Amino acid sequence: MTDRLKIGISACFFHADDQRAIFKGKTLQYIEQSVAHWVASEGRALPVMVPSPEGDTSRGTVTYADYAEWLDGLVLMGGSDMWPGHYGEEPLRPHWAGDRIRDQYETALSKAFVAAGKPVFGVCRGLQVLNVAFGGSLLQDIATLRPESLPHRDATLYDKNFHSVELVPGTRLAQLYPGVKQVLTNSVHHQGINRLAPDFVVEARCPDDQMIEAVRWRGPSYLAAVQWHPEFHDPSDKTVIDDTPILKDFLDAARAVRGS
Amino acid sequence: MNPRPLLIGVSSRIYTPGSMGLNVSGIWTKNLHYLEQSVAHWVLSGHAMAVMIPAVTRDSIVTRSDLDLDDYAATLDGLLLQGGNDVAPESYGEAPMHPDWSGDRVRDLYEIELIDAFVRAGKPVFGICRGLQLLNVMFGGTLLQDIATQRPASRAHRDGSAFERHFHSVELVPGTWLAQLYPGVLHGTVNSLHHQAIKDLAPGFVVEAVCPDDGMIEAVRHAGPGYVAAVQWHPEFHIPGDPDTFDDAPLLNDFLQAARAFHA
Repeated sequence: MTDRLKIGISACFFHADDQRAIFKGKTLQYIEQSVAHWVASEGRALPVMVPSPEGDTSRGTVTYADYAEWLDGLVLMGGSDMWPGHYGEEPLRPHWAGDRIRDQYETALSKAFVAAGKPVFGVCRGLQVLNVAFGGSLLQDIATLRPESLPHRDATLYDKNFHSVELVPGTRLAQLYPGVKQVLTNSVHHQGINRLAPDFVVEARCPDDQMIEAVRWRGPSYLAAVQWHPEFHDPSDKTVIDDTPILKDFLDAARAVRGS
Repeated sequence: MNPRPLLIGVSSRIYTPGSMGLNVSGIWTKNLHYLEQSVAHWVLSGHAMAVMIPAVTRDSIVTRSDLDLDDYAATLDGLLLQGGNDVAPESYGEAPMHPDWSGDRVRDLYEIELIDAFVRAGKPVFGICRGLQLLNVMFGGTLLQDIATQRPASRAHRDGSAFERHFHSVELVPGTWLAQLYPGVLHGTVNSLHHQAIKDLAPGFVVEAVCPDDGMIEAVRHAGPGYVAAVQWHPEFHIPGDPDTFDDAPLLNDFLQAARAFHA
């Protein structure tokens, strides 16, 4: 029997679309290969995608709690925007209406893991979902609502858009990088945290505009998230942050829960 | 506390940039692993947890030791192969007769390794559509690259506009395991969305169902030890409780029963 940590990755959706050339009327759920491989890169994890049990073809009695009981940890992937209704706002523009179905699925899945005391780690949208699930709110569009901000998303550069990030001294994240005050990360988001969730700690900020780049929950279990995409960083590029200590810390937390 | 539900791994469909070619920017520049939602829901209908197993491809940043498919076979109770792209003819020693039929060699290699890991671990494997075809190839059989071209007398096994609402009849072969799961049932109506099919049956495979119109093989099972079975139709697309189509629940329950034998 393998001793690997079983890490669930939340799914992204291609919702049913009658205009699509293939899979007309079908809902597809997917992960990016790079996320699965990043989770596996330390050689201690067995990543799997957790499909959403909901939707028009839903059947059976398996619950999110069943998944949380079996798996050792959860990673929330990046992807589409959140529906502003989840933090009490109307979409300022129709195309910022987000993916309400995925919001509900990931919120329920995260809460099941928190209830089971198992670690949750969020990437980009994952940070935003966790902030909202715990009572915070988002900026629907950084460029519109904070026009003086740095560009946090460049459609052409995509995952090759980088900026500096300052680690907040004394935080867990700063402890993982002894002696490091500032790092470089990719930036592929147009939404960001507006009101921080109660009981969340800011662990990193963009020094140019103070945008929140990393958070952690003060609660009894491990719950942390970053606004960047660790899985897109080229491990051979020494100018960007080495995300391995973050992954290791998350997996250590998963190991500790399993061992207890 | 209730016993934990069974854990069934579902193989990934693989999107490589350019292969779907809708809009090659942003997310479309990335390798994606995906499933069609109803296949997960079909597994869930048997009170089993479905999870999708990520693929390892040639350009992966991780090595095999990082993501060892044997570890999945050790951890999960069974493997379900989703439908999808054609099997690459080179996987059974042929050249594509048409560029459109060159298939998905990347996925073939990933799934063959995955199947091998589960078979070696003695855990059950069930194939849907492409899954049947790949199992047949892996165990030494061959495929028709295109039914309409190579067996022009055959009935239509795919209708591009009807998709999963294209049906035909299947005949269960008396005395087989499949027939035993359906006492008194000789015929069923199943969906049909494939243009490839079994040509030479793999050694050690038993035909469990055929299309009565043209003799096309519709269900197979490996006679050896272990549990390797597959159907040419898509059980997940049948509407549950529809009296006009085949009831796939006994099929799923049988697979899950086999998985339960390994379930601690």
